[in-house]
Amino acid sequence: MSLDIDDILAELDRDTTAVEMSSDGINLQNDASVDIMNSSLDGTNVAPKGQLLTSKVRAISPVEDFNKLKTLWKNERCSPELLPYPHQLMRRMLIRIQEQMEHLEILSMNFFEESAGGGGNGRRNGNAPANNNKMLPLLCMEAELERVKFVIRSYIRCRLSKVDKYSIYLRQINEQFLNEEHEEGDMNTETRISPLEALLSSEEIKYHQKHFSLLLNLLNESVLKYMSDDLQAINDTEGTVNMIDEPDWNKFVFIKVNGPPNGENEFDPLLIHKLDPDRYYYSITIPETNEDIELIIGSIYIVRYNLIKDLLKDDKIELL
Amino acid sequence: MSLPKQLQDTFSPKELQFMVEEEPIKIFPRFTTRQKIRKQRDDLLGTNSHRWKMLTMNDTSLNNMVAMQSTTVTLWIALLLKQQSKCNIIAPEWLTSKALDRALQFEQTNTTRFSPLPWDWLIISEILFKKAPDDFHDPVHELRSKIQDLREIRQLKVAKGIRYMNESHLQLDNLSLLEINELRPFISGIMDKLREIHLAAVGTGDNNEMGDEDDNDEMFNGTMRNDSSRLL
Amino acid sequence: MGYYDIDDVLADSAEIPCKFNHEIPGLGYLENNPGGSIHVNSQVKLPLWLARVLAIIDVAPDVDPITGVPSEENSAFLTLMTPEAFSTKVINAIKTDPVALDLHSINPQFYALAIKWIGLFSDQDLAEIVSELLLKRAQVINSHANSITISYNNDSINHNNSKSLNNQTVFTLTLDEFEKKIYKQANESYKDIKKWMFQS
Repeated sequence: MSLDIDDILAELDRDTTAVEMSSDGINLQNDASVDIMNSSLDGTNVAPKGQLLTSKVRAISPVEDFNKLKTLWKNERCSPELLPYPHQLMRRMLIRIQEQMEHLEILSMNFFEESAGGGGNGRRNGNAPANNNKMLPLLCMEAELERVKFVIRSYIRCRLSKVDKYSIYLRQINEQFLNEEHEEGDMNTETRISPLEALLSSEEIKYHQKHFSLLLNLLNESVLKYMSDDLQAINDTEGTVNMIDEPDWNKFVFIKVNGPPNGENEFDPLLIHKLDPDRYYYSITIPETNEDIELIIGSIYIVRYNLIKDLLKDDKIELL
Repeated sequence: MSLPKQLQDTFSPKELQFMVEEEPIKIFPRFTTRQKIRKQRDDLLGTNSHRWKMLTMNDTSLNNMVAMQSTTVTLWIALLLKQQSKCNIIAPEWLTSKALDRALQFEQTNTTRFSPLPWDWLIISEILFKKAPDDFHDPVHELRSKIQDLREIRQLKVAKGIRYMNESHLQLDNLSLLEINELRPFISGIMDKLREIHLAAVGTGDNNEMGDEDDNDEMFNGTMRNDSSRLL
Repeated sequence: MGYYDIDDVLADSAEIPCKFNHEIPGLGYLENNPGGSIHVNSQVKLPLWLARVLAIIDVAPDVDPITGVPSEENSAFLTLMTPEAFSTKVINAIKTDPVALDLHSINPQFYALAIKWIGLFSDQDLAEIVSELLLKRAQVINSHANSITISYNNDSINHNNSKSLNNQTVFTLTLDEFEKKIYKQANESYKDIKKWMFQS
């Protein structure tokens, strides 16, 4: 699986690296929702500048992006389901990596020329300790690049492993959606985004399609074609046990409660404020017992994923 | 295949170390990067191309280091500089003999709570003991044994706390990154099973079954279905 | 969980004692009477997946030929009876000493079977007993998992002598398959951390 940086570079206008800040602050930095809006179009225009007069536009710092990426990576690793792909964030990260790689290349070329021209130590030994202070930034920048790449690789690998695991399930929810879309006919002039398009990057969609057809082919060739017609299904949901593995929605996960990403506790309608002791918390309810649980900001809990997944998608909690 | 089995649903110790290496720490650099002071020397050397331009951190502090003036950098940078003998790491305030004694006392007096040690206390102390043992004021073996004492007393509390596992939830304040990770498979595994037992008794199946085919919302939320439907 | 979960399949094949509510022609071979009928109140062990269906599907109730009133007796093919795994004897053993119990010999898929059984009858009492059992045993599983020897590259760190190692083995033999899985996962997790901490 390769993410083609050139493609992305070509279609992206660098100056659009900005997000909307909604004035009520509720959907702030919700990459997912922004992404879903854009991914159905051709994905080029990021910030509809001027369309929303009330909102402020703010440049995103690379540091914030990297922190967000680390959070997404951890969340993805700890959540039972596949979380939405952060289209814009990944675009920006990949562009920056590309730029940094070019920058480093120029730097090391300069460095080489310098030391060669200086007549002193003509050869640059890559393994020599950077006893020269001039080497240090280059060394660190190279190390940093490797660290960023590691997070991205690990993140994508984790996502692909879930695409593998839920291959049939993902296909099923998508088909269901397309069928509904078809039934509704031309009632909707706007094309809605399919679940797969909302969840996956275009590369991941291709990967999923390929993986699914290989899997189907394998099952057919090795087993199913030798069985009678009525035993060939791999997606029977009518029987006593569903054949399609779904994410374990109720799985217990470790969470930390952060509150709204902008820190404005008093403007989050879901937050409950209680005094004595002074605390802000989200309230969730265990469905079968009607037991209420207070999720206090700053605290760590182990709870069922299903009960906190909306808070997770709104960046109000993180998985640990 | 895409992700090794042992990395699914949890993190390896090395990955935890990676996360902690992203945290800030104070150092005494042994060299200067601040431009004004450097300028003349740069001119002599005839170069200016070695500015720090970082992707993942604010590089202002890196470009404004003054020898022997404390500054804050990302831990992995500090470790890299340390390795090149370019800085001394300033041990965090809680990682002194005195502070650890206080933490130990807290652990002993509060039998049902964990002392508010930093989120990464076990990992960062381990890293610093290994990579910067000469930067501590207190003897490292003494600090190490106190960390070990803290670890053991907390593990004992966890072992006792396990009996409060249930099908609903647990609050685990001040449990640290490493502690959560080593307990993760055990606690989530047992609590998942307790939940299955509980849900079977109240008659809400927990078997990942599909809900009503045409109820899209249910679809995405995952569904609970009355277990009796499994019988038919 | 899931369609292809082997422990789920095995739990479904556990033998359940069943009592027939009706005389059924041709099923006599189930009680060594080939060609004959199976009689009312005959007891036969059937796998759970089959017994469950037969205990729920109604046969047409016997109707009193004179009054036309359907009989009040159980109309399902058969009645499920408590399997050995949840017999009073086992429940008492659970209550006495949950930790010493050889759960594996009672049923290797004890919890999976218990969950199915609890679900059939919405049996709150059994749910409580089984939860308590799991909790008590979990504490022991955890301490075993945490204290096991780690040795790699012959550079071993021994916390246990061979005798207690032997105890470990005996202990793991008494675990049901789910407990074994948790034990392994927890043990791996503790071991990884220890390795990381001891590495030079």
